[in-house]
Amino acid sequence: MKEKFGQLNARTLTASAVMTALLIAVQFAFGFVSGVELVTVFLLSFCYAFGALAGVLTALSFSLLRCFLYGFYPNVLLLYLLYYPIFALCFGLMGSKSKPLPVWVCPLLLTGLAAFCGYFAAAGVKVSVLYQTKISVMLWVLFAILCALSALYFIVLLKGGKREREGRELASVTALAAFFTVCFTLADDVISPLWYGYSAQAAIAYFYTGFLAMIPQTVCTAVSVFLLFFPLKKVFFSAAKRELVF
Amino acid sequence: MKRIKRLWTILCAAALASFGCLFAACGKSDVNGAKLLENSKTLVVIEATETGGSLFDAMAKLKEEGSISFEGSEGQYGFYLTSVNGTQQAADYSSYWAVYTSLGDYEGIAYSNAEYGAYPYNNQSYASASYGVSGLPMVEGNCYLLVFVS
Repeated sequence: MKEKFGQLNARTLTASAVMTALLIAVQFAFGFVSGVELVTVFLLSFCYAFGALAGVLTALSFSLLRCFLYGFYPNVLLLYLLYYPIFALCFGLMGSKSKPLPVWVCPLLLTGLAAFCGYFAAAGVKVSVLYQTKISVMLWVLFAILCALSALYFIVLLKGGKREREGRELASVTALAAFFTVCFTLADDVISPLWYGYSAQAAIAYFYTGFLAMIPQTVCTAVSVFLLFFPLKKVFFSAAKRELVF
Repeated sequence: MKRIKRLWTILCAAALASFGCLFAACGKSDVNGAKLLENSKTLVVIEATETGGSLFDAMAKLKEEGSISFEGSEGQYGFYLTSVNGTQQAADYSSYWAVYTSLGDYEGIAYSNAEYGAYPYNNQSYASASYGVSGLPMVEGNCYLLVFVS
């Protein structure tokens, strides 16, 4: 019987289980390396290949099982259970479509993110005086990466040809991944203050402190997805027995 | 003769007293910009006597001097303390080292907040720090508490 893509069968369940273990191992291994996180690129590529259902199942399993390693903190658990299934759904649906995203999506995301970085890089972030230079430099680096990605996108669009679809796909996936990474910290900036009952002033201070994690993670996501998406896509498509189509 | 003997006795006593003060000062460390007010297995209190550097820098100098010992790792929020003076945090994070400080708002930035927690010491309440030891600047006159929470 021919397997239908996105169906929850033995192969998909097995792949989800293995992927959950891999995500926990990746998060633990790189937890000791400041600013590096590879969960995003791995989960993104998996969802792209295996579909939304397998992706959401993996996201839920990962969010719950990682607690055995890192402890059961309600606000963190809530954040993970809210963020990762939505992330998995988005990239799972994106991967199942034979057509690429509309042309305007990627530039819109990149412009929004670049504006966000540029604004805070210029205006300054209210963090410890000991971190301000570091944060400022990282914001400008991220701004530069986003501008470079935008330039690449438009060059690829203008050039057209065989590489156009590949380039659009890569730029769109990278932009969306970076956007989601920013949203992760912003979601925590809402959930944690609400959970602990912080005042508005404390919540704003918590928001600024979040930049210390958000910016390096977003830089890491943009770079890792840009470099690793196609190789991982090839591997996961092979595992899912899907044909690579550009 | 008697006068010279008396003078000599006074001078010797003065010399002994100053040596005694020197050794007594080793009990409470005072490295550049930081003074160790309390030092036990569950509580370390450091007072900033100068403005400059971070709490981590002050702790590193005290460690070099041999007054305290600590271990930890670098994380996204700076240096994360896992052990101070031989007291290690629990593997399941049920006990850990927390940082409290009297440094509140400084140059428009909030470095601590009582909403995150507070610790009473010496008839004063110290608010939970908003940053780790490498993110807290040493500001003259302020105290920094490393408290083992269990």
